[in-house]
Amino acid sequence: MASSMAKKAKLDDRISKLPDSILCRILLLLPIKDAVSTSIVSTRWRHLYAYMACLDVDFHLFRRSPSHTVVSFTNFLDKLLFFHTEGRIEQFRFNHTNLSKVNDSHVLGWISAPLWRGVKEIDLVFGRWSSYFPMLPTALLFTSMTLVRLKLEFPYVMVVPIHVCLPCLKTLVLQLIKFEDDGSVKRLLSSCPVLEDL
Amino acid sequence: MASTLKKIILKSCDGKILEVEEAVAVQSQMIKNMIEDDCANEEIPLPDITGEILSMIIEYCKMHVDGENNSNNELIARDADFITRVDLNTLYYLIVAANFLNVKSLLDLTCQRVADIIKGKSPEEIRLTFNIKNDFTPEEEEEIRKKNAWAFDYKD
Repeated sequence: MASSMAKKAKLDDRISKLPDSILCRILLLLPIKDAVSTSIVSTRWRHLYAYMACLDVDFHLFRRSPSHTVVSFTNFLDKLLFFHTEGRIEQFRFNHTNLSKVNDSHVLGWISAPLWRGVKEIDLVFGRWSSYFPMLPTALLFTSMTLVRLKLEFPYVMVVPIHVCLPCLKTLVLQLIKFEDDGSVKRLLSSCPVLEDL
Repeated sequence: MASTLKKIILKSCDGKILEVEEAVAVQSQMIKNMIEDDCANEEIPLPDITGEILSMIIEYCKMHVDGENNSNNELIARDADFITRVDLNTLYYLIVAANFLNVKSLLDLTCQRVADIIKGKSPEEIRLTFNIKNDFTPEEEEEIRKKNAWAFDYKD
């Protein structure tokens, strides 16, 4: 009897009855690929991934994939970042070693969109030996009212714009980044009133 | 004057009465708010939580209060031991209850458990695991697969 009860209990799809807020919370804990693949499980799950507030975009996933897979993924990112604009993005991690397959304006857009949407944490990591680096939306990046953590890791000569204002930035991690001049460093550091970690 | 040994009385939906030390009960933000608002002097009815689930939640909260001085690693190990003993149905009720009572660490733990179960599974395996009925037409399913082909490519 106990086993038949267990069987009956097992037949109930309870997880789909959880509220959206909880299911989204669960999806946030998954790699982006797993989160998106849940969209095909049932109609209940179809659009949930679009509300994910933390995006961890790792192009290493595609290092051995054919180019149509990369195109499919870039289209997905465009849609997710530019069209589901109602939600705030909390975290944006972007990791890539070879961007040659991806258009420069795409990357600039992907980095800008979270900034428009009140992102709190940004991690941009590109390969040390890669010959290609994206343009950074520096005007937008250095005037973010919401950014708490910023990590930039790629060989890049940074020109800090005249107007810098990062009122919430607490953690700044710069690796392989060079500044164009001392003025850039001063402007940046004097504009982060609550900076704790450098 | 508030004493640390003050007991909070909780009543589950199936009528089970549990007396809990205040220090344990305030792991629930909801109960903490009630105590602060002076609304926790009589028994607190919890309409959607069974006695069995409530006991588990209290066990969890007690473990965290008692383990306050333990190392982080020790607590993580205890959390892992607690959550892996839980079957899928219980996990569901724990999530609902942790959400209602607002026990953040337990909600994190239970959601992480579900995520760990989903991780790396194909949509078919996810359906089988949680017994989710596929209510897409084959055409709809094909369309979604095509749209996000990158995510459904399990062969690479």
